[in-house]
Amino acid sequence: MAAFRILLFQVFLLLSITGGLTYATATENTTIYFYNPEISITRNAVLKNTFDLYLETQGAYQFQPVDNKETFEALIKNKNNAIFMMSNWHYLQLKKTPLLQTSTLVLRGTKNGQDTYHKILVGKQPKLDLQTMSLATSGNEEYSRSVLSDIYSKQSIDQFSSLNVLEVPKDIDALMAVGFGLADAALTTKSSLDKLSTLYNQQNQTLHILGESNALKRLAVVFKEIPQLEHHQIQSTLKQMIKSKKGKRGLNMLGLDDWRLVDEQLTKNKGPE
Amino acid sequence: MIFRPVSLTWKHLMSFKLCTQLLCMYCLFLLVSCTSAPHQTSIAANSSKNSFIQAPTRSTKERQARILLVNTNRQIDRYKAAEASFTKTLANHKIHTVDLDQDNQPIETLQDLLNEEQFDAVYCIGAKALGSIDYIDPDMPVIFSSVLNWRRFNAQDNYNGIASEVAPKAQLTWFKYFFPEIKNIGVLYSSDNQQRLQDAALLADALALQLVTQEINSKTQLDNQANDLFSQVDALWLISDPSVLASTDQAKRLFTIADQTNVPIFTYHSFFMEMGATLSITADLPTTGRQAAFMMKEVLKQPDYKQTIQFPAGSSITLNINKAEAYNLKLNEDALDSVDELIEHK
Repeated sequence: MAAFRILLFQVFLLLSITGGLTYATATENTTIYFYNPEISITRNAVLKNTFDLYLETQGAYQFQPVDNKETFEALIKNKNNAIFMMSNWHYLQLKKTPLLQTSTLVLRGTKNGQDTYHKILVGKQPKLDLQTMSLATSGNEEYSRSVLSDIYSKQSIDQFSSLNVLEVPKDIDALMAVGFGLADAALTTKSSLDKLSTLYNQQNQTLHILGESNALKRLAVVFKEIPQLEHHQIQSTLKQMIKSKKGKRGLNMLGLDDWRLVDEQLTKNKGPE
Repeated sequence: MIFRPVSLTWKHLMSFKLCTQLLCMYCLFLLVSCTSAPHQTSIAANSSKNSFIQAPTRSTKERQARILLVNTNRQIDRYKAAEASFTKTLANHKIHTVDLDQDNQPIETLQDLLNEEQFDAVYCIGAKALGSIDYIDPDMPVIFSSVLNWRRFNAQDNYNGIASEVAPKAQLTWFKYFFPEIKNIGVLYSSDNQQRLQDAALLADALALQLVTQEINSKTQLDNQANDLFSQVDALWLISDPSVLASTDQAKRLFTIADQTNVPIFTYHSFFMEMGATLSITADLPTTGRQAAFMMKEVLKQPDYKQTIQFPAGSSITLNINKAEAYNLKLNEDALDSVDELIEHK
């Protein structure tokens, strides 16, 4: 009788554990956390809605944009079995810290087959006083100053100490701010200037490219402690985005049109990190 | 020993006297406090709505500028956003904020405050704030934002501000960017907007757009005039016009006619998305707050600083993608990276 009781207890214990595990697997979503200092946080809601609409068709995944760098870094530190989507600028910063030790860079965003882009400084005047000029930029101030340092790498960082930085939500806003006289210069992408040039010839005749950054890598997707099977599933889910209307819309929302596997990238494009 | 009872009595008497003296002093203090600052009570009652923000200063040698920030209603998100970005940009300034929400005597509140404290400049968010300050007409620079009838304040020397809607040329640029195949854009307007429409027509030309305009002569003819216009255009640009948008019912009727004639409506405010607009280009209010802060810096450097009213440098874009599809508009998919709100129902 005693042996039967022990057996019954063991069966009950086993059922409880497996039941609990099944429940946990069924209800816990894998989260893709997102933070990009180049994109205005006012767009976080639309990014979440668009990505979730695609991800819910693919499995137990969810997209979670984060408002600030500190929260995002705390999530990287404390969350396991999670995915982190970030700007390459931020990725390179974190790579120097222990935060990404157990993580792997898996995917990189691309646009027109390229995983790099260039930032440019555009002004209405061919020469500007960097110390006193007002700068319109869609990135946050820390990021924008860092890009300026890259563009003017031969000059001291103090050069920009009294710069007035006007953060605007979009690259095209920054360009229009210069065009309409609201700022002296804009930090934008080459492709945004091209887009505006095709639309508004008159305006761009008066804009001058004052400097250009080195090639910058696009968005990085980092997997942290994702089990092998799940790793392939999520990787495939993101790679397949281009094949569905909802997925494609999510990519467009980020200014991308595809993802590239990082080892693919190493063989195809030996560009800058 | 024989003196003891006497000494105790004396002590009791002395302590009673001391208490009486203390009580008298307290009453006197209370009386002086009440008579010297009668208005202080009302400010104290509103203390949760009045606050002083003082961040660490960079230089203690310079006299720190004191800014009065008057918010029409801090409960309204758009006003709150403008206040937050303004105070963040001027983190090293002394900013006294006043919230006029539920204040039925805003002029008195502000007049008392201006009598009591000295400020170098005022920033008003919203019409109630600016209207109240304008009534007092303080002898100091005034900066404003989120005021619909902002044009009225353009002529006043000490007033600078940010317009409430995105510049017409910026709106047209966004329309063309989202829908590159659009060529003819219709506009209904009254005589109030005639000059602005003439300027906009030149800007539209640079974008290879043609503005087809229709002046509204009377409200009764609006339906017929709208029908005539819709037969000639690819889209309607709904502008802030007091005659065209005379009432909510009239605006709704206009949207119904446009839908029946298969004409999408692009507009200057996301409010109209609920009525059926396809695209709206609204001012981004955190950016507006930052612009006001930069303007404030200039004003503090040179109090007689005056420039024309600035248009907002940031945009907030709402797109109804299903409506765009329903109207067979060819959407530039690259433009989706500029969308702040995507509506996916018809």
